[in-house]
Amino acid sequence: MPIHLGEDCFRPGKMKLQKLLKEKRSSVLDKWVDAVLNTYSDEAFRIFKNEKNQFANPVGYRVSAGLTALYDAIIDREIENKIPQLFEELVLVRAVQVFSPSQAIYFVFQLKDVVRKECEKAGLTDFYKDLLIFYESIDAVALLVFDLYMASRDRLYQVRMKELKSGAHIFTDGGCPTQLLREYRKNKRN
Amino acid sequence: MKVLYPFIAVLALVAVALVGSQISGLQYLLGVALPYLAFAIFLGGFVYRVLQWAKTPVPFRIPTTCGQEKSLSWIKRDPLDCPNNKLEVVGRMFLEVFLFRSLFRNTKAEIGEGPQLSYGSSKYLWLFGILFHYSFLVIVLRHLRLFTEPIPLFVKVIEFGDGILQLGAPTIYQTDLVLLGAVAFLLGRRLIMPQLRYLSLPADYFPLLLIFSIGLSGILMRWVFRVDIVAVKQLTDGIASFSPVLPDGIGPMFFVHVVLVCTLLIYFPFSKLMHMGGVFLSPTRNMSNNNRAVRHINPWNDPNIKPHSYAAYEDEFREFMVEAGLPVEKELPPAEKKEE
Amino acid sequence: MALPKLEELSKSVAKGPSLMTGGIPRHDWLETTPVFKPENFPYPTNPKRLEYLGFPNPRVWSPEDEDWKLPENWKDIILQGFKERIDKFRSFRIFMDCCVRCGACADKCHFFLGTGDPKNMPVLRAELIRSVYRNDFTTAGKLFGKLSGARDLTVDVLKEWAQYAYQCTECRRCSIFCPYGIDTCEITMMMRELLHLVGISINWCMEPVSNSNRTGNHMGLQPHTYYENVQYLAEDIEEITGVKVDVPFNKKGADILFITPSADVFAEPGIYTCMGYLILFHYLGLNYTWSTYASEGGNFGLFTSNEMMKKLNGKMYAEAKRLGVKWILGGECGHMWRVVHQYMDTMNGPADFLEVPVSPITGTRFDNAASTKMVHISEFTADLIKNGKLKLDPSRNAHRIPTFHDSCNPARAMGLLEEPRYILDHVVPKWHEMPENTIREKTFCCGSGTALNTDEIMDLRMRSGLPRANAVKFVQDKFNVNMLSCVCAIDRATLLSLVNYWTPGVEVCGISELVGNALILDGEQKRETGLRFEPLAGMEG
Repeated sequence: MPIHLGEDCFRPGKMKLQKLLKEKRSSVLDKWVDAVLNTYSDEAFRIFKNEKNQFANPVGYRVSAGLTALYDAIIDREIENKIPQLFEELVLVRAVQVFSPSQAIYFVFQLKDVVRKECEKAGLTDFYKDLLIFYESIDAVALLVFDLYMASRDRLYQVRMKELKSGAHIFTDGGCPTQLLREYRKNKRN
Repeated sequence: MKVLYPFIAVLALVAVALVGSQISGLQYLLGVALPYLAFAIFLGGFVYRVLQWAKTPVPFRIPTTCGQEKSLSWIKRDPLDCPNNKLEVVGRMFLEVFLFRSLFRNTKAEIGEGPQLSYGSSKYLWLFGILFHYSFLVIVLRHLRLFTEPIPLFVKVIEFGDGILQLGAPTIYQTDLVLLGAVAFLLGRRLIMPQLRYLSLPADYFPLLLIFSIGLSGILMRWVFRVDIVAVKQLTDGIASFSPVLPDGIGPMFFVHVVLVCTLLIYFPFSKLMHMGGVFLSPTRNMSNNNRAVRHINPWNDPNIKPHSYAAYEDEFREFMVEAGLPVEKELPPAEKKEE
Repeated sequence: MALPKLEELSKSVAKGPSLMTGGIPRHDWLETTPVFKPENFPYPTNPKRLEYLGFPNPRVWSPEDEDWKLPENWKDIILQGFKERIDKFRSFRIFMDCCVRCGACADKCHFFLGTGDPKNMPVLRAELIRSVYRNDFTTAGKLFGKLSGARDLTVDVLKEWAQYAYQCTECRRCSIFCPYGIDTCEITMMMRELLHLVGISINWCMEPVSNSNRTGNHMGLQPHTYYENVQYLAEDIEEITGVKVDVPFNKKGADILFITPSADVFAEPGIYTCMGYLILFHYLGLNYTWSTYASEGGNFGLFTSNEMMKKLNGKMYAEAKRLGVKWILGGECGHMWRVVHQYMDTMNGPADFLEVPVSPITGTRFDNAASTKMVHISEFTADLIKNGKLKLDPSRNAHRIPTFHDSCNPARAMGLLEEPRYILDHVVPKWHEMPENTIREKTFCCGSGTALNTDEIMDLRMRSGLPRANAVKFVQDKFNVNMLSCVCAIDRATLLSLVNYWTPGVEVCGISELVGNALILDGEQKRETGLRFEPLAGMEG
């Protein structure tokens, strides 16, 4: 189901807010990433934040890469067309980190707060309409993230199911391995 | 809290020394008796701990291999990171003990990926670790001039090298400054990096603060609160020759220095500072990875632990095995065969 | 209901006790208590298994319960066991004494990187037990108590040991970065041994242990079943290649006894690796045998206690002796090779009834296994290829673009790095390495070793496996890698789940599967499918 955005949402060149978001890209992003990483423990935060090697720090890498991709998609109004892949990976990470569902996708809403503060700082007072429109796109993103989150959880259960079926488990008192293998072979041939 | 207590402890030691240096009876206690006691505890404690390790058996040969093992003759192997004999182990230990190989490993792989900062910070630990330990070593060796007569040549050479920049009068030794800088780095690291702050204990801050104070008091008594160096030499020579005399007029800063050094010596064998001895005995580093070629003996190997026997196994499953056509040691009893 | 303000919500997200693996620390690590949730601790052992094995305190209990039903004198038992072990293992004593908490290990652990839980930093995992060591066994701890980082052993401390001893896969990655070679694996082993003394263990570990003891393998396959399963695989080979391969079992007088993890005989994708072995041995006309009694290469005793490891491993030599073989060949397995390489000879040797292994095909003498008399299949195969004894058609693996995952134990407890790579070079047209600091001795664990490969902690496994998956993702994106090859049976099972979650489209295989697929047999039919019945390149549709 495509997410439909309001007509006015980021009409290019018209919005002050969009201009601001483009100008302040790195500062807004930085604050957003910080806010999200802050949901981890202090020690983890430090490493997630400062270790730039993507292989030594997969969580931090995925958070910053995912948010960057998402941010650009929001500014360029690309949300409905493509869900950036890096961002999908971020949701995959959040889905297995013992967050409650709301905690896991809360990071989307954190951008509202960051942007509002940035507007205030920039002295942008006549912006409520812009902001409402911007919030609208955040809401749209949140819905997308919700889908992705559920898809990730679903994938996790599929993985569990598959592992059980593949026979990569031990037989407890009940199971007859030969029987299972026969069934398995039958399925494989079909 | 974790850093406050050690800090107070060091201040207290300084205070004790300053007070003690003003009272003639205590002067002898701090300047002569304490060094003997401290050295005895250090030596005794160190030897005791090392012997305790040494007498604990090494049941299994468990080197951590960090490179290709010796296998087929045409496969290039890595003798220093995966030693196969004693000589190669010596090589590995040399790199480990003298060049901090493992800490250095930290950085190697990460060069070329990610911004400078990420691998830079890990390299700093190695660098400052090296600087700290070698400065400390040089300083200790330099101090031998106080306990020897005539002063050995190598001590003079070290002194000359250490003061080669010829700055200040008396000459500033580079190691003094490097030591303080390195300790400050190691301390700062623990205070600033959250994960290190989280895991650090008072027992981590205390030795760092102590060593920093030792270095500082040493520098102070050389340049600021000058002490009578001739008198000091007289005292230390006396201590070394077991006929101690306590000359008058050694400045109070000397007593501060001595008390702190003695505290370090006494503290040493009870603390993590024993890593100095432990590093040589670490089984993951000082053993050859020739496990499959040469048998290692476990002194407490229990010969009574036996596997579930084949006989018991076959007894349980014989019927199935025969049915499946698997060879067995004992045939099925004839009675059962008839029933089939 | 009034909605909470954003800021407040943010705080509750940041500080909420449900975070991570059991609450993020709001206090000093010496004072936090562990939180157990259904997802973060494997099921405890079925008491029947403990009874069978003669382990203490069999009972029904749950980690989520307040009361773990410990024996009354549990503290004495633990401290007594502690004392015994610091007197028996120099490694344990030195690792208790030497750590300076420099933190070099902190960000090297896949559990820490994946969970962000500070107690998964190797140094703190060890401090959990070191704090008790200081309290009860050192002068400094007795004199200065908490100041020296000492703490009393309480039920909560014990629970914390349980939590973090089962969030460590004994992979030794931290150890290679430690300036004193402190090996968290040793510490976790000791923690687990101590926990066993009061009946704290996990079913996924003890079930295989008891199965292995009784039936010879983890799966609990009885001899006829095991035999039949291998027969099935031989039938599949015949269907694919047109060649009938022999499956010799329990054969006295064979030259070589072959032992591999039982997962290779039953579980996907290990069975394809097993087909690879069968094809290779048939090709060579090897005079070898399988055994139903020693039908398990893996040894979950390694994750239990040194006594149990010895007991289970004893079967290999016992069977070799009974069958009168000359030497033993071992299949692809990680922790099995830890045991075989570093423990077997010491525990169950000397194997003076065997001969120094010599390849009957090339005549190569495996002097590196002169005492243990057991050779790794990769060493054996690499030698065959080097001597030009194998007719290989790598194009049959053209549909695979593999990368190679170094398994923890062969990499860091054996040093088997080059052989599998050499084989890969010859059996596939091309393959790609993962990034430098994630391979060889710096390889990242699959995240599910040491009996943590159980499905009830799948979330946790996905987190701990993220560093590995992340590197796989990189080569998947960059080189279109579609196959994660390895030489470990646990990897074959667990990496499959890992890639199914993180990098769908990548499959997992053993090196021997690729060998078997490339090997040109005498009298074979034109092959249209690989060993998985998947169409070969150019044969689709």
